[in-house]
Amino acid sequence: MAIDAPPHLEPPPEAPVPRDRGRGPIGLIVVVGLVLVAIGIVAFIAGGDEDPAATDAEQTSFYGRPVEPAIERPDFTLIGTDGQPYDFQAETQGQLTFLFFGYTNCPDVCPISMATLTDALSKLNRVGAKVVFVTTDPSRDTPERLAEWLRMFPVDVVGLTGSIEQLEAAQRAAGVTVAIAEAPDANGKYTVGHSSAMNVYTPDDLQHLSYPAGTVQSEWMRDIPRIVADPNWNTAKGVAVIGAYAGPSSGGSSAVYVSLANDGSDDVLAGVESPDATGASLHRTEGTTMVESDEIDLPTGSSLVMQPGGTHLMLEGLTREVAEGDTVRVVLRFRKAAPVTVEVPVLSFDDLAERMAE
Amino acid sequence: MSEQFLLAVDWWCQSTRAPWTWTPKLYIGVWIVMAALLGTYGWAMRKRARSVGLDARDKRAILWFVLGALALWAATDWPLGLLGSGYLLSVHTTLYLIYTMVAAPLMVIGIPSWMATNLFDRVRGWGVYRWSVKPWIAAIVLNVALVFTHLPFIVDPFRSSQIGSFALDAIWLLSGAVGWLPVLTPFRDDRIAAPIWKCVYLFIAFGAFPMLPGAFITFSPLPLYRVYELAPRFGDWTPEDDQQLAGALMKVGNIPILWTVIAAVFVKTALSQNRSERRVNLVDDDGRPVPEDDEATPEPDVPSTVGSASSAPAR
Repeated sequence: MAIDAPPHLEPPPEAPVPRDRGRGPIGLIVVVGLVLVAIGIVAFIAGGDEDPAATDAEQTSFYGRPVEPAIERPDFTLIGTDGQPYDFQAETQGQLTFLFFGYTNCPDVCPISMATLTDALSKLNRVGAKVVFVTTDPSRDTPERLAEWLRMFPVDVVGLTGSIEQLEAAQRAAGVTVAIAEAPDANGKYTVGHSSAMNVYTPDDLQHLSYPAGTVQSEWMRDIPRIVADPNWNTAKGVAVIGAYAGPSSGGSSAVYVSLANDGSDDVLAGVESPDATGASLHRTEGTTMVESDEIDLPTGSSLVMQPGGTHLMLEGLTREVAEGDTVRVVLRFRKAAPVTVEVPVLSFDDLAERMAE
Repeated sequence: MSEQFLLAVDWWCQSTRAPWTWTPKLYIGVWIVMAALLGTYGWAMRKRARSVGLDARDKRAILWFVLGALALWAATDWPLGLLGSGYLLSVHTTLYLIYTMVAAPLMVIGIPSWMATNLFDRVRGWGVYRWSVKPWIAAIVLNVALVFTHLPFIVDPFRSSQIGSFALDAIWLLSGAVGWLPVLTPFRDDRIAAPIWKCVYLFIAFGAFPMLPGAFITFSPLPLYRVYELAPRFGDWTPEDDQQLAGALMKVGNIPILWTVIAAVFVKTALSQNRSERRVNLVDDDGRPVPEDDEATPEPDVPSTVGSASSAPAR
């Protein structure tokens, strides 16, 4: 540390220093610079909050890239970290879903993209979203390895793997570039070139947005609540009940007629049960014969109208006799859509005859 | 020099988002700047040595300057420079401390008054000097530069380019030098004279104000800087962990250096007063001061941090 030198040991005086030279414009430049920097500070402090005066366009825009026209939620089945098949479309239908293709040995994009998203979801209390990570490196990403790697993120993430062919098909179904593994180096290490996009599927089972690598937490925190709040994207599509009635019971049995419309993806009515009966089954007409059926197809855009003399549900072993004015409950189970419980009004035999005549 | 070599060599450390590797990398700009700094300094010293010779103070100044240049080099080159530019905000903050609290003051001490005179004459810098040696101006410049170079919308684009990264480092060094001018300027007349005001200045300029941005960084709920949030991770460290450490460093990382300097100022003042009192007491029968044989004489070649108007060379 420096120490003062007493005056008598100071070096001899030097020539006078002309210290007034060059004062001209430099001082002004410094002042202007200081003012500019001060403006920057004010902007920084003021920029911490959302600008209330932002335009409508700014308010409605997303950091993600719009996908136009929107793409349907892909349909593929892979293997989960529990070793069981995982039907992506069925398991995530009607839910806000984030889908990413990557690999656990990825040195940069994968862990960072997953971390920024899951950190934001964690801070948003997850908002009921599902996050699915599909490996593009099945030889190294075993279900166990995937499960271990995904545990480092703060929210639950579904990890999926499969054969090369299955994974390529899944990537094509999701509309992303199919990953390519580079040649291994001398140590056997290799990287995998893959899509860095985060696909976002909304409850209407469509992908309206794709987020590029480099989306940071603050951007997710801003966008996710707005995605969830968008009324156009959050109307779940799929199978809807458009009508239902039942006949009076006879000998502990009753026929139930339900009409369904499917504006979602292909689905199947896969079963029926009732809390008001010991048995319930699907029946359909083949020619003039009524046969029990395990399931009934519900292709996209189709409707199924059950009616007397045609397809219907049969309840047997009713817990009580039912007549006009009563209701019975049936639970319809679908292959993809969530189960639907229907409160079915019971009509008279005359009303049934009229329906049959119609 | 082959084209391949030129492509492989970078000018300055910047954020690349590439995974970190411990393989050393050459940053040619760092070496050029260091060579220019040391070369110019050496050339000036050599010229002085040939004309009037170097006194002990000049030789001590060389040591300070070289130490400052070494600190600057360590903070700028691989690995610290690269870690701070593109990987860890906490290292970025550490580099800021090295630039402003170590390299800058050492280099300021290392510039003798004759060299500063020549420099300001050549670059017509007297006007800037006279402004920046004022304590309030120096404190503002130092802290405005601190805030400016930590604004997210400045850090992100600047750290993502070599020129921008170079500019940030240059601002740090220059603002650090300005910050130390009121207590270490080569022209002793211009130094803050009273030790207590010197300490107050150091505390406010280097200690108190940085606590505000430090607290802001520490307690921010989200990562503030895209550059560091999107950088490949170091182990289990999250960007939030890194940011909290960076904020803590900005708040308290300067304490060891700052309080060491403040303590040194007080100790020197106490010693100086003690010597003065002993001189007053040592008088002969006629009341004339008696010279002390055993009094430790301060080295004449060391620049002062307890400046006095009487020690300044005549101008």
